[in-house]
Amino acid sequence: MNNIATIEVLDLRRSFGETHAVQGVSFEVKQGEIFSLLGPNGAGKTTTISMLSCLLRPDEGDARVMGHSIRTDQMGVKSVLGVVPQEIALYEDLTARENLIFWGKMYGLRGPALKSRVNEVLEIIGLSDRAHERVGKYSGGMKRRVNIGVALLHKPQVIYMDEPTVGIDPQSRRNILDSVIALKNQGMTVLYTTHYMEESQEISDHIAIMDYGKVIASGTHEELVKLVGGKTRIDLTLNTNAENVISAWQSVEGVERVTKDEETISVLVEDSNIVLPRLFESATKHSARITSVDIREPNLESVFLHLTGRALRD
Amino acid sequence: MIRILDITIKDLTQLVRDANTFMFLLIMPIVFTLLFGYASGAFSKDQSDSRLPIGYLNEDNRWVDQPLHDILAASETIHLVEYPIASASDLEALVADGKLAAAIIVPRGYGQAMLKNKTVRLIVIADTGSTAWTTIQAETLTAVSRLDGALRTATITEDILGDRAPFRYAFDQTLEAWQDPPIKVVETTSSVVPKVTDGGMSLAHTSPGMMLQFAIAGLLTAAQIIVTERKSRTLQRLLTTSARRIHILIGHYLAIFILIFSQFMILIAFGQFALKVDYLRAPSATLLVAFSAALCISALGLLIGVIAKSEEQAVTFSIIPMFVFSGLGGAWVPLEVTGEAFQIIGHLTPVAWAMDGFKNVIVRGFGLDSVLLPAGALTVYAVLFFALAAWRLSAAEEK
Amino acid sequence: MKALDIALKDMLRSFRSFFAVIFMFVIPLLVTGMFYFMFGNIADSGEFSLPKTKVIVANMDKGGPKFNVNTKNIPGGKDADTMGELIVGILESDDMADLIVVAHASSPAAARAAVDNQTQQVAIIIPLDFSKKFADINEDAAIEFYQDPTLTIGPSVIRAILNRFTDGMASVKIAVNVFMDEAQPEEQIYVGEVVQRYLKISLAEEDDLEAELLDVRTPVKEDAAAKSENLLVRIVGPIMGGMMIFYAFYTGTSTGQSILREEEERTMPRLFTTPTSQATILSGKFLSVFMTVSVQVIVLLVVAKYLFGINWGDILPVTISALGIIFSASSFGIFVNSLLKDTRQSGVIFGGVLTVTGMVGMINTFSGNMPNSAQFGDVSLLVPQGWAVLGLTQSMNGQPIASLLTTMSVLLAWGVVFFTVGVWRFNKRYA
Repeated sequence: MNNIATIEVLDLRRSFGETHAVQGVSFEVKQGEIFSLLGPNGAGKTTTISMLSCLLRPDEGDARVMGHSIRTDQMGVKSVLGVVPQEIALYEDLTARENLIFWGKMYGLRGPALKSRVNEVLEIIGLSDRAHERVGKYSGGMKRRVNIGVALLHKPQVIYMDEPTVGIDPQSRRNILDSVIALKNQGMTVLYTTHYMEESQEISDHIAIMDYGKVIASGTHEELVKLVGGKTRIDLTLNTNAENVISAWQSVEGVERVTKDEETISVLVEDSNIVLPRLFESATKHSARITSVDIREPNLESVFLHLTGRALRD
Repeated sequence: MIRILDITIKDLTQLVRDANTFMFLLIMPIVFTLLFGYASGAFSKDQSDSRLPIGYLNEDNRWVDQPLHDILAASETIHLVEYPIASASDLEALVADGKLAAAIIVPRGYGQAMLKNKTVRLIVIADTGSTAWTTIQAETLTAVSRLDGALRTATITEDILGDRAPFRYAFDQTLEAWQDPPIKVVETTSSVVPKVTDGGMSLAHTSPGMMLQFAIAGLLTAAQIIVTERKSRTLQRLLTTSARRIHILIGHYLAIFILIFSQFMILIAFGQFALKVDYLRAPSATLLVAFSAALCISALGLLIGVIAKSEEQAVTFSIIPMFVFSGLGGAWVPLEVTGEAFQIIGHLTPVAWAMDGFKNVIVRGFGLDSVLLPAGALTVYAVLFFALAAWRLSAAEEK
Repeated sequence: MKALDIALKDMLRSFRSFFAVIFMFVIPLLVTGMFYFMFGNIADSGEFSLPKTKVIVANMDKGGPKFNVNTKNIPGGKDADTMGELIVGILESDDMADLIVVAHASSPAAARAAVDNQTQQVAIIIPLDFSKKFADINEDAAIEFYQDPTLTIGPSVIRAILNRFTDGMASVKIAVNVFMDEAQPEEQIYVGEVVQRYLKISLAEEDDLEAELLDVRTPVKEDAAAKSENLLVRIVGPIMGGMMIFYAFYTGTSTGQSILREEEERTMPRLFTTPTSQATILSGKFLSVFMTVSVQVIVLLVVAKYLFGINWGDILPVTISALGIIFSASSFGIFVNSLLKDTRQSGVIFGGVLTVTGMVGMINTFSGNMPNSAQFGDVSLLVPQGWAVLGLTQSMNGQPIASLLTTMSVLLAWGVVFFTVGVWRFNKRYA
């Protein structure tokens, strides 16, 4: 990874009627890094990716991919880019090999070079022995692998992956995450969108959190966690209506913030070891009993909660 | 029972909301019936147009040729078309191009030879392999025979009676007698279609034919409801509720039946009031045929919906029976013109039975008794298709 | 090159679809085969021959004064005691064996009932006083001809035969009546002589009335070489042509639907993320439509030629006609799909627009073989399929190339309009 900006996004904006899907998004992706766009559904991640893929024209702003402008040099952008869409965008009545051959041609590969590269990609995605079968007969995980394979055919320098692990089993997800890391190790730059905090946390060098069309925070995992002051979140449930307890807890020393989400009360604290007994004591004073406790070390979920007041999975 | 109706209402709501589909189920058959009817001259004010056009050229122009012309002109099955400046080769070209069914040319010397009882022949240019030839041949021979008969009678009468029965007088008397021949064939039929309107007869075939054909074509929209239900997994979800499989089937079936039966009713009303096809002369008979045809076609639609795995397949599975059943069943070409084997095969299709039922009422003028057999056959088909659909649904869901 | 890759990929998908193949090739051949079988009774004879007409006769004739109708050509004439028996004899003669199957009824009601319940097609009812009335110069005799009203051809043949016979008998009676009108009472003894002389010189003696009276000539057309001599092929040829055109338009539309399908499968947006221009992508899609329809038309032309013996015409007119069909069918398909939002609307389009326009275009094909069919005029030319049918018919009939080029010009114009509008709409959609 070096400091050269592979992707520069400059104040991108895009609306659909009255809906402002992307409102002034800017970030930079360095060469060879895995950059995550993290946010809940409807945050504007896919719209951003669509603009960066030249599928949507931005209303305002621009972006450069390996120096090619998405406004003025779309062919240049597409030639260096590989896209793994969220949906399985494959021809289900063609075999995996036939799909790869066709898409390879669309990326400008021909002849023996194409054939050889298709074989390589089949090896990478682990489907060499089933390449002759129609994609329609594959499992969901296998289809996702081919979906990724298509994006790798022309050895792009930049690859976009739009929520590639949605709706698949844990094992397949694990495989995909490992393959993303492998791509980075090969020197590829990866722009990865997800609403799964764990994924971002695990694989990303850099994370931008999006909500309502804006980047609300950006940085490494450590930098983001520091935004909440490295605070710990304690999730508790009570055996009673907790309004008076919540009020009491907000006054407890060491408590940063208290929020309630249905039955769960989330308390942001400096040090859980010190604050937790105080919370128990306070609850007892108010004739409430704590029925469950879940201590969560600072993570992106906490960051999101801190920044927006909502859980990432709302 | 209530679940069946819930499913039926749900299906009908979906169908009715698709305004294009709904309009096509009605507009399509009406438009095509009108077009076919118009093209066959059913709406033509000039009734004579339906007769075979026969070109006529008299190269002889003697007085004795005129009765020949008059007899042919009075025919109910052919009408003479005379071109003032056309030649024999012109007429031949018109026959070759199909603009005339035939051409009759009276050659020079024809009248003189007839008067002298010498052998002479009328020239007829026609395709003897066509289906119209029999009619043309019969009319022409009739005209020539009568002319010849009049000449013979005049000759004999004058010979025996002399001045009391001059040749020309006897000739004219003989021809006049043909206006009310002493021996004749009186045609009767049970038809309720007035004989003069061949267009009406044509519509009496086209109207039910098109109605049946497009009822089957319309299944593709009804079947797609079921296909979409399976693809979206809502069918599987339904099966997880307390709604039983048979309830689901009957619910879908009822929706298709209501759609098809409504289509029939509207098209029958259109046929009755706009096309003057007398469906309502025996309302209970017509209703029974329409009801049983709707039962059968709806069951077919249910089967298509259950078998088809995609919308494309639903289209294919609807269009194929539309063509095959309509062709085999006589909706396009009356089975009369086909061989006996084909007529038997044709009656393996429900369309043939439905056509029989409708035509028994609107053409033959029969009543309820005459439609019991066709209605029974259609009901048997309905049961068969429904049973296949039920079996297929079970088999598919157990995979 | 990429456009060709896209086209070939789409063709591969099309021909892998079992249902697409059924629609493209099997159905047109199947329907034509159905008609081939339908009219198969003329395959051997080469002439249009009907199935035998079922005739039931109720001969109630009790007889009357014997009429010496010793016409050697009327079968059974010498053995008939009544005019009714004479008529029955004619109907049951060997000459009629190819045309009719005769049954007998015991009463007029039974005869009519047989027609009503469709076990018979025509009932001939000879009244009990037919011979008596025939012999009485002051009386008219009539035979009732009761037919199934849904039938036309068979009964009309029987009626023509019966009319010929009754005309023959009527002409004798008319001759007698004319004589009797002018003869004095004492001259009535000459009635027999009138009858004898009339029968002797009239045409009733002739073996073959048609050959005696008519000089029948078959019309000769220019360039008739292309026309098949086989009547069955002449019937089936236009049907096969019509079916081919009908399903070519279906193929054009269903292949063009791949654009919408790829949108729904999300492979179209993916295509747009590759370094392939929109123009190339759309060109490839359109090219696949043209190529698929081309394959269909060529295969059907060749297979139908060898399977049914259809002579499509000389190579140049056939090629021109085929190109016209391919271009118009493909363009129509592109145009129609450009109007659709998604594939769910295709059901209506397939079932509605294509079926109606296809059948309107083929109207002449189905009407041409029906007896007494009126001139169907130009209804079929309201739709492009009608022009395509016309062009192919011109090729099959060996008409001058100028006529064909005129027709193809109109078809080309249809195609250009459809293509232009379709391309414009798709470009706008993906702008």
